[in-house]
Amino acid sequence: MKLRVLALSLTLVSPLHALAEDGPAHDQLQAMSQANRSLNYTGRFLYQFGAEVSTMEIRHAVLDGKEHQRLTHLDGRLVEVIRRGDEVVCLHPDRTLTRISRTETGPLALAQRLAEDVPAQYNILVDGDGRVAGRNATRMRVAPLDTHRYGYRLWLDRDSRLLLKSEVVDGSGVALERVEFVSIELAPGLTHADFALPEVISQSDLSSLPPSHEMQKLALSAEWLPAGFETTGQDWRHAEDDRAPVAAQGYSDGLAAFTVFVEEVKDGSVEEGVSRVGPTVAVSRRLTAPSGAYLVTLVGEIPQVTAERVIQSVRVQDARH
Amino acid sequence: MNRDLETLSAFLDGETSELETRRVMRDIDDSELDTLARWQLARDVMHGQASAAVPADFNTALSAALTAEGAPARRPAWMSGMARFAVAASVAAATVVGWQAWETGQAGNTAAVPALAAAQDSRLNRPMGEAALVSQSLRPVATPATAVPAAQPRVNDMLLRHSDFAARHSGQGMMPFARLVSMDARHGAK
Repeated sequence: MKLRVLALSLTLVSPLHALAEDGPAHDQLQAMSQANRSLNYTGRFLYQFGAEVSTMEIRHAVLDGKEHQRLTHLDGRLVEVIRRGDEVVCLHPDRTLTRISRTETGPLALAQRLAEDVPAQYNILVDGDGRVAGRNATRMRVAPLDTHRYGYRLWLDRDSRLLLKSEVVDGSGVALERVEFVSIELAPGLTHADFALPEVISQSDLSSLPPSHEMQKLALSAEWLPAGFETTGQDWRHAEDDRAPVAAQGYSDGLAAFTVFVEEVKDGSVEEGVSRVGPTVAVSRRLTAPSGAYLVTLVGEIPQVTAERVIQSVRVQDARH
Repeated sequence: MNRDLETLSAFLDGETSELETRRVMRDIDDSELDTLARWQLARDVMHGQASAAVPADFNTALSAALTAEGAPARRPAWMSGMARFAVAASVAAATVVGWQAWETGQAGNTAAVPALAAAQDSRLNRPMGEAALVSQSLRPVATPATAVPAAQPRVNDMLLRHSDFAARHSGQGMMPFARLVSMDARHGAK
């Protein structure tokens, strides 16, 4: 009996112990997260997923205490994501615009979790020196401790601590996605004009549902989640007026994230499937609840096998029954 | 002996069954190996191919490799449900209606070929993972193909919302938005 108590106290103590031992690697990551959020910079980077490469431009500034960011796709079709504080807007190639989120959905916690504590499911190592975009960099590795998440290779600017290059790698070390700056300029003197919305032909909102809507009574639960994943956010939205509302539940382990969507479907009109782009996987599956049929879709940056296992364990509880 | 030569000939032409092939490789002796090598040479010359003599121990190495391959590893019982799902996902060949939003032009061509296994193999051999290959249905699609345009934006909305969630709650910084920008640009280009 005494032994068991001892064992229990040991398991309780060990995470604290691990936190106390956070070494220089953790400090580096925290400094990076802080730099990415607080510094003003512009730069161009390569974005690569799978065999596809695109070039993008980023503008980032803190104006009036709010984080502003603009990502512009430089080749092919023009797509932009503009973030002004908590407002996030996506500008599509056909010059239409979608407001993704508004202030009422809560503050953006961009990389804040990483700054506060590094998830226990990862091991962080300093790998050595490197050079990216003509700047000296420190190479780091964020290695997952199980197979339910991807790892990362990071290159941090030695002067500013900005993230200059990052790769998402699968279990066999294959890079699934890569961001690599080719040029970066610090303190470029950005103003509000750099984050202004261009003229668009139409706007649409991913609008929230009123709390009284019956989809709000839908409860979504996963009976199995990979270790460390917790629910992060939940919302119910109409994508467009003519379409049925889709409920969403977010999950994250502090680094990786996936979202589970549920929508009511009529029989025979939907299909299950698996789709993958770079590190992003989408899996959908039909579920039958007492009151009807639902399509559950998981979208996220986790290995496909893990995604399939999660979606097999998703249950929908319907308050109407 | 004559029967053996017939088998040998069939073996050379690739006309033996798997069982026969294994038997030939197990039982073949030096004289038969010589015969085989001569035939091979003759055939190669006839077909105008540059020939290279097969090393004498080639068959030994090959049968050793085949033996070592053995029976496929069994999955643990608790994995069976999952495995069935995965197998089902890779067997059905129909492209999911509405999932086109995920595909690049290149992947669209690949999806038309029901060769998921091959695609996955090549993915392992490439320095970078495949862009978008897995796009398959678990069951016959009930909706006619004309439903595609209407179904497309749904996936985009999910991607938008997932990117927003991920940007807020994951430690990945701008990555979710970079993903979104890239996929949206690609989708629009089709």
